[in-house]
Amino acid sequence: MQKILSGMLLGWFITWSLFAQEPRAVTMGGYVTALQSAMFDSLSGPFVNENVIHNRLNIEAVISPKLTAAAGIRNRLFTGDRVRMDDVYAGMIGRDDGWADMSWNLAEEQSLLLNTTIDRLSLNLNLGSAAITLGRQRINWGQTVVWNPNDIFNAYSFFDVDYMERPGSDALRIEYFPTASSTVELAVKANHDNNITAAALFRFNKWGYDIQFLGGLVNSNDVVLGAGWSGAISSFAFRGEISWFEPYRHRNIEKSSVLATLGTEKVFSDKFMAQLQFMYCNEPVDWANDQFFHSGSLDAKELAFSTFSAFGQFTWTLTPLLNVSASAMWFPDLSGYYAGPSLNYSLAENIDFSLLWQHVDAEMTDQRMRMNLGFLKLTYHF
Amino acid sequence: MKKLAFSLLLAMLPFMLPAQSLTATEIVRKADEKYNGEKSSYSVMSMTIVRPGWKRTLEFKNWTLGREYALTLITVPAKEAGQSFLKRQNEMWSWNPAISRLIKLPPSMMSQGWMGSDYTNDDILRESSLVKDYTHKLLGEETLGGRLCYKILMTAREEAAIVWGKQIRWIDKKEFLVMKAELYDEDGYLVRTETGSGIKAMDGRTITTLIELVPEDEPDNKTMLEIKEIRFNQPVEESFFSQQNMKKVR
Repeated sequence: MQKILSGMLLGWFITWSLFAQEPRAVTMGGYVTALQSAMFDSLSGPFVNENVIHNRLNIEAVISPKLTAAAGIRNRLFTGDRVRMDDVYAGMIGRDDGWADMSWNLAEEQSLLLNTTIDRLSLNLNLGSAAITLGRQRINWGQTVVWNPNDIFNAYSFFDVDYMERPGSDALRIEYFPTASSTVELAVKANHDNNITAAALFRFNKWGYDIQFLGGLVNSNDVVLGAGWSGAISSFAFRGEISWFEPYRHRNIEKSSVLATLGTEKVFSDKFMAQLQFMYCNEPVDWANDQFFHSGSLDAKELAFSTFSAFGQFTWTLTPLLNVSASAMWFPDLSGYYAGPSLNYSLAENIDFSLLWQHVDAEMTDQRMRMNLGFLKLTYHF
Repeated sequence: MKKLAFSLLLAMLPFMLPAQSLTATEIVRKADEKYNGEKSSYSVMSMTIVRPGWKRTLEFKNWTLGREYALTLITVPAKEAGQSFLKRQNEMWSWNPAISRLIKLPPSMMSQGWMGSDYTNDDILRESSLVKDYTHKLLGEETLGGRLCYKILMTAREEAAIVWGKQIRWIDKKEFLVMKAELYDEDGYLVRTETGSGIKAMDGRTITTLIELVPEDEPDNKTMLEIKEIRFNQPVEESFFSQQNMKKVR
């Protein structure tokens, strides 16, 4: 059923895109990246090497002044040690957490894996001060920078360096804009287990702040109530989010959890930017080692590994072409930290080169874990 | 002889009067309205950052309504295309379509170089007013690029929240074109020089379509702003400058 429906949606989309009355109204963009990575616990130990060629396509079709369609396609070719040695890797890559399964492993060989995923596929109807979006879309309700307890539809892991867009939600979303700087949203999403997330958000602008309140159900399991804001204290940005998750389905085994984040950022002269964020969670999750760098979708209530977490990032624009940043996280409950220096250099008008390093040193399930991930990335945007 | 001179002067008086009766503030206002329109404007611009050995170009569309409202959409380069910026009175937001995220920008972003250029957010989204935030004084007249210009000293008002301490502007007497501007910081040091060229008629007005900006401490660096298309006093409602429109404007 899900396959049929997603197939139909895809069919409609292609038909509309091709036969839209004005062919010029179809636009396409995207990028191609070559990502080389190495995972190791120490320089003297074994390396797990991987290469991913990643092509992203963003397509938008203006069908009529009121109706648009959007699609996002992700094609990835994996080669390397994990494809060869990890039996569950192909399954993990080909897994789609959405209601419709729109991720396909087109080729699964001994040393290569080719995957295509449609992570956006939606129709958007604009009706004056209201908009209705149906299909796979990203619903982003975050206000802070790194951890977003308010982002109940598409919370994500900070550590995934090759997926800026993040997964979409299979959802129906109704937006109403009472004024130019306020919105009321209603959204319903189903995931692959047919669990429902349904919530409403009201965001408005008052006293120089964006303020939002939200409430609803998450994954047919929790009642959520949340609030968030963005504003400034003198020249410092001041943002925060708080969400309270109360389980109603697994009431006996799960406890209610509260996640709160507070963050600030400041731009110094033209060249420096500093960001700080803190998170509190009364019920942090116990992560198994390999889930630390979990990619794909994540539950908003599973963002914290530690009762308190802190994040800091310093970005230095040395020249308009060269950007250097250093970020760090601290997890007191794990007696651990994360450190992530990175460098981004614009080689030519549409070509970027990046160098990233992720280092984790933490106590996990009674074992000390040290892990390094190094990335070399070349991106061509079109 | 004296009589002749006197009668000549008298004959010229009508021509001289309108110019002379303009105060320094009115000259600055006329020059300012030349670009922004008296009410609103729509423009397509490109901005090229030039450094020794390389350059990068950014293209964008810009809608303005008075001083209070502005909407900017980036169209080039591909990496940034689709990003939009909204200003409503003192508040600013950015929209990033790749991650579907609306971000309220902190005030410290205002003085940050816009998209890596020598222009600040303040320049692009026109937070400050050349007319209201400064006091103006006519220093004299000078010829620049073959055009006779008013030379005007603009001193920032103390209560105005702007990054510049003062400016000196050379404004063409005939067409009210800003031929040159020197921008000084609060300590009186020259920070950058802007020069106008590429004089053309667009939407019925004669304007400078090329503005070159050179920072004083790095004379090899420059940012060039080219106006590719501009329309003035377009019928645009305040409601156009909305978060909803940031997402769908093309």
